Amino acid sequence: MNSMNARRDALRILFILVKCCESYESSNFPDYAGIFKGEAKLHACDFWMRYPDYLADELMNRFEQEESSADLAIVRDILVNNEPDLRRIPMIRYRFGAYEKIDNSISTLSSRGLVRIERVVQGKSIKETDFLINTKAFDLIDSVSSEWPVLQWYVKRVNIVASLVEGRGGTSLKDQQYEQMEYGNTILGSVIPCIKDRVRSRYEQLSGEVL
Amino acid sequence: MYKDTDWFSAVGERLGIERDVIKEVAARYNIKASEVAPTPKRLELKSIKFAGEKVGIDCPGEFDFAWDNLGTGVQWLLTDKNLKGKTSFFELIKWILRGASSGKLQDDVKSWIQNASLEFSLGENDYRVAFSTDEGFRGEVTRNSKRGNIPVASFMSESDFAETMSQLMMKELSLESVDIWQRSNSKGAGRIITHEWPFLAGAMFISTDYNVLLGDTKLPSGSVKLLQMYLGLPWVSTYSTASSVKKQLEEQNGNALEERKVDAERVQLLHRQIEEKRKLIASYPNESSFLQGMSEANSKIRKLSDEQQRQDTIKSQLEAQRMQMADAVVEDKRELQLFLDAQAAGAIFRRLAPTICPRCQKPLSSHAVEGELETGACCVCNEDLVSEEGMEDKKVELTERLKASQEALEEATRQKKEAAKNSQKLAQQLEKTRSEYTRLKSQISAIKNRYVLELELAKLEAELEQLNSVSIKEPPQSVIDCKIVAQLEKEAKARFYDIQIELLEAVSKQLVIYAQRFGMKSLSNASLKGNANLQLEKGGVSTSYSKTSPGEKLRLKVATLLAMLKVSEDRGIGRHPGLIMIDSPAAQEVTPTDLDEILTGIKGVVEELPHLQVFIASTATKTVLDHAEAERSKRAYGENYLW
Repeated sequence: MNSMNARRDALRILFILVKCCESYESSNFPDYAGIFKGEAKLHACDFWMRYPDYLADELMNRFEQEESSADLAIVRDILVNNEPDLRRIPMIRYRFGAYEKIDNSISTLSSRGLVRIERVVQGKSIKETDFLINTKAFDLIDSVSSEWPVLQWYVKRVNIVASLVEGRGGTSLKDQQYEQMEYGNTILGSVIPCIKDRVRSRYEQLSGEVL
Repeated sequence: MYKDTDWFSAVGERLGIERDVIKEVAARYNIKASEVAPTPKRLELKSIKFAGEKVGIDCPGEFDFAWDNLGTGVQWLLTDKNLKGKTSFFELIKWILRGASSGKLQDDVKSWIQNASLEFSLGENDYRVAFSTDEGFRGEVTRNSKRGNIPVASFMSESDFAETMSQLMMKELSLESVDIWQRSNSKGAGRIITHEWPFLAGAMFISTDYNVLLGDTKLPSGSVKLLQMYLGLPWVSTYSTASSVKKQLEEQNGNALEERKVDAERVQLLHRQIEEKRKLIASYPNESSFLQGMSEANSKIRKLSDEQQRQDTIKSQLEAQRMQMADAVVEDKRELQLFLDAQAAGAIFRRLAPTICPRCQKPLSSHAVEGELETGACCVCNEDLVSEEGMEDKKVELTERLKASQEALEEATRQKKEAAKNSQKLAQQLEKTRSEYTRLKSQISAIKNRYVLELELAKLEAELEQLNSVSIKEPPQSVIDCKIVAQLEKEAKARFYDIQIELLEAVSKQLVIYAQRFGMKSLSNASLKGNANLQLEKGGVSTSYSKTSPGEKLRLKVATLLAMLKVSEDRGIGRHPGLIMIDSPAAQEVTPTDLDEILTGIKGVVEELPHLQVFIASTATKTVLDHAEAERSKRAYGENYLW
């Protein structure tokens, strides 16, 4: 089943890349319409995809800033549908946050010509890894969204993540998430735990509704 | 006429009780059968002497009196003026004869007497009584015999003196003491008073107080006793004793009856009170049921608490289970979801054949791609390509598993709900039992009250039992005794009654004769009753002694006394000593004519009854002097005192 999970992961990564990238146009790579800058940002997006409770927590942060009731509604859905349990795909906490090798996923995508890796080198070290998104990828995401109803959740969810990460750099996102994990008392090297109770309480406080 | 059988037997027959029992009862109360009526003994004064010193009056001085040629018949004690010592003289004689002075002998006069003596014959014997007061009151009684004066008794005090004279006289005259029942009054309970010589001696004296027909002392039924005594009726003292004892017993029994009545009332009251108290106690909770109830409640509480604990354990177990099931459901859901995601992803990427090498990003050779169909493994990662069929199987499996988990969760939830319901029911039961226990506990004070009431009930019941046990007893001895004594009295009375009637008739007839002789011409009939009432028929009109005038009373008194003496003399019965002392017959509105007639009458009777010795004290009026013989007189002339 590993291969299945790998494919699933790859698909999820693809959703993130496609929906969270910036537009791109280059005469060098005319088939590529988007660019996703930095692995860090990718990891951050993936974390929020895989931990709905932490996502909800971030949404409530935004609600405190912008007071958009839509955010609170999403948080409610997350909690009511028990997404923190049902949708969680555990990650291990590393020194600088949640990290998981995405090599296999990227391989799956790049071998099918959907994504191209571009490494930005400075001197002897890799400064940044960017991903170029082929137009095929955009088409594929669109078609599978309608073809596979089971994937609707990914569609909706990745759009929310996209709205959260828009214009933000990978580092700042990582720091943010790092704080969340600190607050959740996550021990280094252990699986990042579920914080749904804390999130529920916070939601109830903010909304006045008892779930 | 009474039956001439033995008195005890007669009583016993009448009551249906054994003779010996009757005898014992009579002995117990000192009721003696009567003696045969004795022959009378005569008392005749021989001489009287006294001396002393008068002090504190107008003519003080020593005195020395003697009168010693006394004999039978009438002796006269005369003074020209009044208040010259006649009454005192009589009082002195009475003093010696009775052994006790009466109130009529004034204290100052009494104190003048320094010594006195009286010589008299009593029956066959001659006696001398003498006393002196110089070294305290003392004296002696001696008897004159051939061998000289023999001391009979001596006395060292006045009470001693009275005792001595009483004993002497009662014995010599064969008199029995008279028992009279004095009713309970303000001064004390009822009691028998024995009247002896001083009372009986009164039959010898007629003074100036004519209230009483017989004797000189008014006593309830005293006259009757005197009458019976001096008529010499047998059984009189027996009767009087029995009568007194009967009255005493009746009073005692009356009291006892009263007590029993009170007791009976009390018993009724107790019954009512006991009934009420029992009802009241019944309304209280029973102690044993109370204790049992508390113990039951207690053990029930324990059981329920244990059960509750068990249920709580089960509940938490079920909850843990349910939570597990819930987790399992979530887990299975998740797996299914992930599977579905993966299934989609798998299908998507399978459709896209890899064309570029992920490592160097150069195109892959076409035969590598084609080789997949043969090997069934991915040309990039060499992993087996899973068929769609296999995926479907897996999906079904996961779906089934989820369904099972959900069912298990439902079951666990149901079980938990049930346990919760049970738990609640238990809690309710426990609550109920606890409050029941509390309620019972609060009744402890009621139990205490019940104890108090039960104690009170026990007290009442004990009292009732005691009263009942008392009343069960036979009638007390005194009731039986009373019956016997009453019959003894009746029998004694029967024995003398007939004689009495006859004697009274005779006396009544005789006294009419004497009274007429004394000048009561209008007296046609007299009837002396057994109770010493004297009914008279005077001038055709019925009257009685008390309604007559003083002069008439005097004549009747003397007439009655002399008539009694005569009647008993004629029959050889009677115990009157034969000495009569009459003080101042002219004192109470008695006219000279009356007096003359009385004195004549007396002298006439004295001739008829020669053994009589009569003393008459009077002022020396012409009437009197006409009758008084000088040699039988002692006279104080002019202003002189008799002594």
